[in-house]
Amino acid sequence: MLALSRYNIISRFETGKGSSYFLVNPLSGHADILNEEEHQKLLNGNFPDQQLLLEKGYLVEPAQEQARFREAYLRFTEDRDKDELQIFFVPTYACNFGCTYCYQSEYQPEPGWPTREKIDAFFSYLDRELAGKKKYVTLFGGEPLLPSKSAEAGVEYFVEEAAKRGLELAVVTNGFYLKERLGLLMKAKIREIQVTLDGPAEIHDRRRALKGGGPTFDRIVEGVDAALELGVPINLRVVVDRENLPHLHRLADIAIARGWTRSAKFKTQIGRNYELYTCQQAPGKLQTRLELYQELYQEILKHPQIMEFHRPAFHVAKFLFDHQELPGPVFDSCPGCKTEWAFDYSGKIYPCTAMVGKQGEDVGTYYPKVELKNDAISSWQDRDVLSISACKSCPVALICGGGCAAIAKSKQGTIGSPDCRPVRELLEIGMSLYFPEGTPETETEKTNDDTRNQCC
Amino acid sequence: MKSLTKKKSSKPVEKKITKISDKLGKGLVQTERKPTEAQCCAKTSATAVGCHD
Repeated sequence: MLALSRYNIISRFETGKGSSYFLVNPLSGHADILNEEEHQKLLNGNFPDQQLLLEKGYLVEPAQEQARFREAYLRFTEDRDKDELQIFFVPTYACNFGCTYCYQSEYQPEPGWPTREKIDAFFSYLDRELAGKKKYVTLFGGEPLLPSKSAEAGVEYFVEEAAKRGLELAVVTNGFYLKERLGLLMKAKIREIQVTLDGPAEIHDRRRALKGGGPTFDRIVEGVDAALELGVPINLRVVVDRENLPHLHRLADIAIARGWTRSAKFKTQIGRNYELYTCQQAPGKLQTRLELYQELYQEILKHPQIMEFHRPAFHVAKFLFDHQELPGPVFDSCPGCKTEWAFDYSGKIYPCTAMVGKQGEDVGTYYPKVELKNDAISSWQDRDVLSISACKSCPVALICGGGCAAIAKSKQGTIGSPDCRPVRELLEIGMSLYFPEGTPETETEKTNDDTRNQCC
Repeated sequence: MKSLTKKKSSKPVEKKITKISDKLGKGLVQTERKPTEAQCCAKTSATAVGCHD
């Protein structure tokens, strides 16, 4: 017996001329815009072209859809096994910045860089345990580019070891010493360098000042300029909340004026400020994911240049606009212990950057000897929308993918719980942004319009 | 109804999936893989905390 697909996501969204409805099915890979009449007919079961609905997987034979689901799941897991791994290395949790929202602020960092022996142990682990896997390494922190002699020597040795193996290098840095370190980093092939700017100078410097005070904006900008001039890819992150989102357009103006947005080597990401492990001093400025993107949308309407700086994904909406297709169904959005691992200077291995350095969250050691907590690793590797019971009946699970395991554990005590994303609501905003023309008018509207036109 | 997705190809079967998942129950030792739309990576391009915000 035919039924509407359980993976249909249907909702209304605002368009330039009123409203329309989107119908998205991440399992079948189809997306359409419906007018009011079509929407009603779809829900009432009297849609005129049933064959079309069948072809697009909106109307299904449930047993066939279950088979399609299984096939897609197998393909997803098989493809992920071949995915490139991102391996983080944290040489220190020390940092010269005192960001107002740092999630590592309560970590107790040890000074200096790890010994060569530890760096050797890290690379030996990659050579031995991850042989044959596509991978790249990312220096993370703390701040990996601090100016001490031991840090400089450590970075140099790390870069050489990566280059020796042909591994691409990414760096996540606050950017304060980026300009000085570029020459050294470029001894390896740089995948990208991530730096963070939280707005124009006065806003950024209030949020991301040096420890003990002092501005950082100008030096970071110099670093970005220098990197782009040398052809080094920059991934600019902006951590936003109520305080700085209204100033995002001014940061966009700066990036446009400096020519960053014209560079193919420049990309951006928006990060939401939220409490992960520690409470922040001004929780009133924090936003839910939905609040953030609702406000961002309003900012874009007021300041369209933001889109030149950053085009938000709104889940699959941007992808759909750019590619006229949907990405494959996401059975799991957490890369921890699958395509992401994080190693720190203490010799421990963690599932991801959100967990790295957090006491009790390690899944093994690479130094002084290799020891893996296989049960813990398995629980991370098993986590997906099939193993999280709340995801099994969720209609948006194949776009959400169960969310972040670290947040799930932080909020609910177990990685086996979901970190739900407001998929439908974000799609509503994203469709308004990327498809503002909506859908052709209904027959009734068309008749009314025709009548009006004749009158005029 | 306005389609936002390109017409899907319906080429013949190209490849077999060999992975077995116990989460899917029995009888799935090998599944014929239908050729499909390009599998697009849904990951963000973030080097760091992109997956959790």
